[in-house]
Amino acid sequence: MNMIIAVILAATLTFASAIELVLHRHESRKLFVELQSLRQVEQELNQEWGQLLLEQATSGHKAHIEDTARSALNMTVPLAKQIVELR
Amino acid sequence: MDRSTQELKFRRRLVVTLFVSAAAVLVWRTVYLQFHESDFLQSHGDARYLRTDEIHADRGMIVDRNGQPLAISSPTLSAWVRPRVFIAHREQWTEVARILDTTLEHLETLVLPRSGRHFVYLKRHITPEQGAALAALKIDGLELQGEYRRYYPAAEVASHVVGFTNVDDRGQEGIELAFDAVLSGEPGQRRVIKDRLGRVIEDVERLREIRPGKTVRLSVDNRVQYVAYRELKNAVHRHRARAGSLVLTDVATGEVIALVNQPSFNPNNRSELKGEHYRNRAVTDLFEPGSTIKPFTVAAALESGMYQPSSVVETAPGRFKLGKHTVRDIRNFGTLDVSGIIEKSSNVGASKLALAMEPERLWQVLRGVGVGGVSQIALPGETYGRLSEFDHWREIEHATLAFGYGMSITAAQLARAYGAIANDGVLVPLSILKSEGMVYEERAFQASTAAALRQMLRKVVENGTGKLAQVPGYSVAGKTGTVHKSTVEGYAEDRYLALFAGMIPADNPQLVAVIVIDEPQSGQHFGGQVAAPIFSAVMSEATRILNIAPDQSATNEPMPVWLAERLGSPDALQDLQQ
Repeated sequence: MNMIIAVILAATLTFASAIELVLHRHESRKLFVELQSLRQVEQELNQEWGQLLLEQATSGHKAHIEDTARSALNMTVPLAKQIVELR
Repeated sequence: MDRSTQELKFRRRLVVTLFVSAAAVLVWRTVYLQFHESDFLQSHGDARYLRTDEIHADRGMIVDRNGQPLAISSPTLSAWVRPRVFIAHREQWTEVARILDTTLEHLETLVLPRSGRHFVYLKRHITPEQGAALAALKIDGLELQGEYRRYYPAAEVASHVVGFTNVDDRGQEGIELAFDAVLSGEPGQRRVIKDRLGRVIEDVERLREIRPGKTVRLSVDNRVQYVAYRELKNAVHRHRARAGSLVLTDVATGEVIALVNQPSFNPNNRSELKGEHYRNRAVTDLFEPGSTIKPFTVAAALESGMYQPSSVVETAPGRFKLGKHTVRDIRNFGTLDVSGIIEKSSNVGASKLALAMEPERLWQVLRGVGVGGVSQIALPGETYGRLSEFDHWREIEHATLAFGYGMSITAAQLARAYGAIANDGVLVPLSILKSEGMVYEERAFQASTAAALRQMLRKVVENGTGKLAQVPGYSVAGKTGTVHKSTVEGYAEDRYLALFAGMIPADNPQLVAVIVIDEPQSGQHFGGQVAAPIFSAVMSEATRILNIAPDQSATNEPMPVWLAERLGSPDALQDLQQ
């Protein structure tokens, strides 16, 4: 009698854990696909960041700044005698 | 007996029949699967197939000491074709050629001879617009592949330091080559299961961990680098010189703040690359340092204890004979003290100092500041300087070494040697990477010797040959040099190197710079005329950019009213006017 109960119990548990396994496997794949797409987003953002850095560096090129300062804004480097030192 | 035999026979037949029918079912199933469902099963198998995926490792950035980018990788597309398939769509080739800015003939010569291959690049690194246009054509056998391309925002300003990569993203020159392994990292590899849309649905195992490229932080300051580039380029152009180099270093750490050469090149445009342009002269080209070596001769004399800065040396009549050779000054300087030898740059005086000492003493000081060695700058192609062993020196060699002939050195090595004068006699290796605090120091001579040398070098700039190196508001110490270039037929009469090596501020130097101009042809060729003004121009901006306080008041004139007005409130104006 006890033997029969034990077998039935074991069979039920085995079946339940099999179902559980299938569910979790599915879940894990879903999460993995999500992880993949997030990684993709990360990579895209990284690339965009690189391009923005590049753009910043290009428009911030010293020659460009100097040219704008001198011609468009009429700026000059102060002469030594125009510099006041505060100590 | 009989009955049981009968029964056994029946049993055997039953068993055989069962086996045969089971086998028949299996065979039938196999045939069914093979012929009726093969398409479905094939696609299903493919969809579930285990793949090995390469994970791209981004190439690291190269940034300057303040984090400003000097080299960045950015994704781009490359167009490639499967020739066999692509050839079937020749009616669309004209359109493809138009999009790729090329001719139909070029396309034909590219693809037709390679029709047997599986893979031919049409064009690498195309723009996103071109990529979109090609994709819109939807031609079979024409594919786009994502790749990475390197961009250099500082372009020709920092090209000799940063270097460049080839089309496959491998370093070819400069930092890109020297630190290629660090920058490129290592692509990862993993085994995955993909679904039928090509999405990875399960990471089975990591075959190789991905190691992304690291950022390399240089010691260079992009702002100072630009100023140095601009001034050197102007000077080389103005004096119609063949080439030029400038190395600017930080005294305490040996960090290279700026390193530029002329001619330069734009690393963003690979088609323009010529060896003549991308050679990093400041690191690879040896020259005889001439008069710029004299301070080290004087250092040896002071260290020997036989001379003081005020000791007197007779240089009249401006030349002296050593066997069949004659050492000459440009004119007769008469009696000079040791300081005067530097100030007037007397070859006779320097030779006499050297000949009064054991050859070993001069050799030790020269060797001690790195002459004949390497600066350890970690850029590719650094050449060892040349300095022969003292026990091989003939008397004339001993004498000429005292004023910088018979040895050779690079601009970077000379800058390092001057760093020892600036750094109280302590020699540090040059570094192109931002210093992490640890500096390997070697003492070349005593601090008192270095201080005495700086006083002498200061006089060179105050009233000697280096006047044009003066920087308003700062004391400057430095030495000019004008060297006859040596050729296969001996020293050329009309081809010179104009040199200046100096430091600022003279009393407590923060920066050292060496400037080399190769074959100035504007009529001016002295180091004091050609190279010294570059020092002044670069340093007056470098000191401002790097926040180095002036150590001398530039002028006693009152502040002009317009400036006071600009400074702000009427009160401030009043205060300043009183």
